[in-house]
Amino acid sequence: MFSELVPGFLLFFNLLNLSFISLGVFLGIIFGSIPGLNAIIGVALVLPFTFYMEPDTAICLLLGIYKGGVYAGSIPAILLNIPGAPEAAATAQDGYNLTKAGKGGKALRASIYASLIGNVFSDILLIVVAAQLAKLALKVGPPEMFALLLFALTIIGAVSGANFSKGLIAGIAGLFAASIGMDVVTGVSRFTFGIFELSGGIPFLPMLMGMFAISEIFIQTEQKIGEGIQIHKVSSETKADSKLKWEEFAPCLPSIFRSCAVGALIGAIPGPGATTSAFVSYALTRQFSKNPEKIGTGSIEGVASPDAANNATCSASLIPVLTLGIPGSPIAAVIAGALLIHGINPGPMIFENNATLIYSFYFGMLFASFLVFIFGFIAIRTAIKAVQISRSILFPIVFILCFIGTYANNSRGLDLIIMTLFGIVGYLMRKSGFSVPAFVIAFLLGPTMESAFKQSLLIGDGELSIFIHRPIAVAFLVLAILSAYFLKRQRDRLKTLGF
Amino acid sequence: MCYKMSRIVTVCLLSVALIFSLSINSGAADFPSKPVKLVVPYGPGGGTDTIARIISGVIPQYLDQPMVILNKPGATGTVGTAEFKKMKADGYTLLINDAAAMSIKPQTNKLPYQPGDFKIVTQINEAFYLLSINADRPYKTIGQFIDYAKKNPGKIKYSSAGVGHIFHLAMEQAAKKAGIKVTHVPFKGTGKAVTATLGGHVDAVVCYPNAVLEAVKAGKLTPLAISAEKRQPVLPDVPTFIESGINYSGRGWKAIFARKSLPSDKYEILQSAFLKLQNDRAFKKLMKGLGEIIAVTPGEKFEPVWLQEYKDLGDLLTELGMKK
Repeated sequence: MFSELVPGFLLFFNLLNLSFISLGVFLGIIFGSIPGLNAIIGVALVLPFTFYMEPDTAICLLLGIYKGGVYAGSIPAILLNIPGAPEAAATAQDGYNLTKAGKGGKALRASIYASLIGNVFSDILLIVVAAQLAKLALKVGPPEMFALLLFALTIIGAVSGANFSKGLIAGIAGLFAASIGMDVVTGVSRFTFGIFELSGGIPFLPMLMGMFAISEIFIQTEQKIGEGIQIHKVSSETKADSKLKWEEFAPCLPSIFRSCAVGALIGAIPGPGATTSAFVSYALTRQFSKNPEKIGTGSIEGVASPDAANNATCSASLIPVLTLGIPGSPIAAVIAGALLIHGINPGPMIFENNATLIYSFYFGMLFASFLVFIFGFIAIRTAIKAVQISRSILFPIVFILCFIGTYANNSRGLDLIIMTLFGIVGYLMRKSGFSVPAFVIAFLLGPTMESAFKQSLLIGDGELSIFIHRPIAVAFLVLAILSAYFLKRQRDRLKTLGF
Repeated sequence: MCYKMSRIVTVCLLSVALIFSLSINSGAADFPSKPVKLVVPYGPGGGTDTIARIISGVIPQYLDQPMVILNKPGATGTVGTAEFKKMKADGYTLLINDAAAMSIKPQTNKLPYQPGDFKIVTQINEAFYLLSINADRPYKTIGQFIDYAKKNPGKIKYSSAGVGHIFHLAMEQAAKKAGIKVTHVPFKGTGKAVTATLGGHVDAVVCYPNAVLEAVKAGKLTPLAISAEKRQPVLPDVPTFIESGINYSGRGWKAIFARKSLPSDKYEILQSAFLKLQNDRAFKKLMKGLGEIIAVTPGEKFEPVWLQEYKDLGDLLTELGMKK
């Protein structure tokens, strides 16, 4: 194994690769921080150019974009409550609340440190135990996935805000909205009302952009123009509020490491992706945190844990494609395509046939993780200055960027209509106390949960007992029940305390 | 003042008209004179997308224009196909697609297009369906698989890329010919189906060979039978269904489509460019690396095959109760 370490390093360590990783991270951060654009578009855009590069350079560039993009989505999520990328939607909850309390700088720092830990953690995991982690991930079949996602859905209780019933309704609405379209298991088109364009379902990204970004912009328009940027208070922070003290960060470390593990495991499972891992780790953090009632209201832990998870998913999502030859996420699929076009076959044999390349790849990954950290600080500083522009200029710019970014995905007018519609829906929901995150979480997790349930029944010959016979599934089901129980208890306690 | 204004406006309008008329290319003599777009009705990085990108890297030399990939994923390729139907039939936009969206879905779902809206420029490849099982299962050959299935009807669970997809229908046909009953567990895409099989959650998977090649080489999946008429070089030890006593053969394909109303002069120019792929060294090398079999057949020869398949699939779908 280590015989390839030095050749791998030498293959990696040249000016071209270093420049391309830097370029990649830079592009990734830009794409990630602009709402609507995200890492996948960045990767798809540069993909044709990668065909003319050497494989190690190509992968460096793609990885840089991916890692930069996943991290940077948290920046507007924290500062504006507008996730720059779907995986940052969980970060927006606590992040924006911290910004409103004048602690935006703290949140941004927590986010970048947690992201670094997440990135490096899964880089090392990939390097050391990719094969074992892949084997573990394979154990998660439909019954386990169903139970896992059911548990993740209980986080709706935490993000529902004051009114739990409204949160539940929002969640159910999200489940319903997600069922629109052609179903995977039955092949039947549901609730499309003859509008063929809906048979692919309501597209997730435009919906997310609408619900979070556009609705936020609508809400911002209600503020008087004359009012300064008190919404963010980032500029008027005292030094203490913008720095992150070790005493504040250290207690989050157990959550962070747990989130890294969750993010890495979910990344290693083909399918779910960074957004799911962000919400699952958010649910777990709430479950196991020492101060669960603070999650969702503005806690450092609530920012750090989804960010650790979604960045951990980055490198881990390459595990299925490298160890099994199965791309588990769109980015992994693009990287696999780039490898294939260079004549390299992803799969178990890649470690034998292309060991040097794999090692140079590992170094590239670690380097990209640290570059994200360094460039991220520059990005944070730029972002803080950017949001200090007068609101009447900032939000229209963000508004336009949302449209451009969302259109850039599929060049489809329907996406923009969906985004605007959900912008209105999100605005109305927020005005009437319905939780937008509850809707989005249910929308995201619902379809996979439903398919997993149906697949489980098919596997179990129609018997529900299949869920009881699988230990991992049972564990998550128990967690789901516990989570619901503790949530109820907390709400009751808060009610008696007069909240 | 008004006179001057209307003069300026007139000049402007005339210049705009002039520029427009200069940019309209109606003559096939200089076709194509701008990049040609290839619509891929799937997401980036998938099988169809990778082949499309290989094509787009090689064909510019024959077209004298670059080729740009447009991904339009959704609903098993139908959303992109429907969008393609709305695009201008000026030869500057083409579609790469396969039987799922072109032969099956039009017969199982209400779609805004039908095969008659398109014509094939060329076929690109052909691929056969491979049945593989999790290596830990007690049956190790297609014969044992069938015996087990006959003794335990419905017990064997096989996975595939989705309901009504080519792999699902292939397996249903093969099972019918073999006289066995197996249970289909659909997943969203071949990747997830293969993963479920590797994890032992289902027993078997039906897909194209290149999706499982690496797992087979690593001994985690056992290939049982392939749907070709003779053994394939990619897996020479794997018997065909036919030689195993099951009278089933079938194959998948990808082809380049144009709108039916594309003028024939432009059609011929495009077709002759694509036909050159058959002997292009770079194309052959890249496709071989993917494990793909090149079959660049001219549209006129492949269309009857496609339409016959359409009819045969229609009969199968009626039997399965899936016809709309």
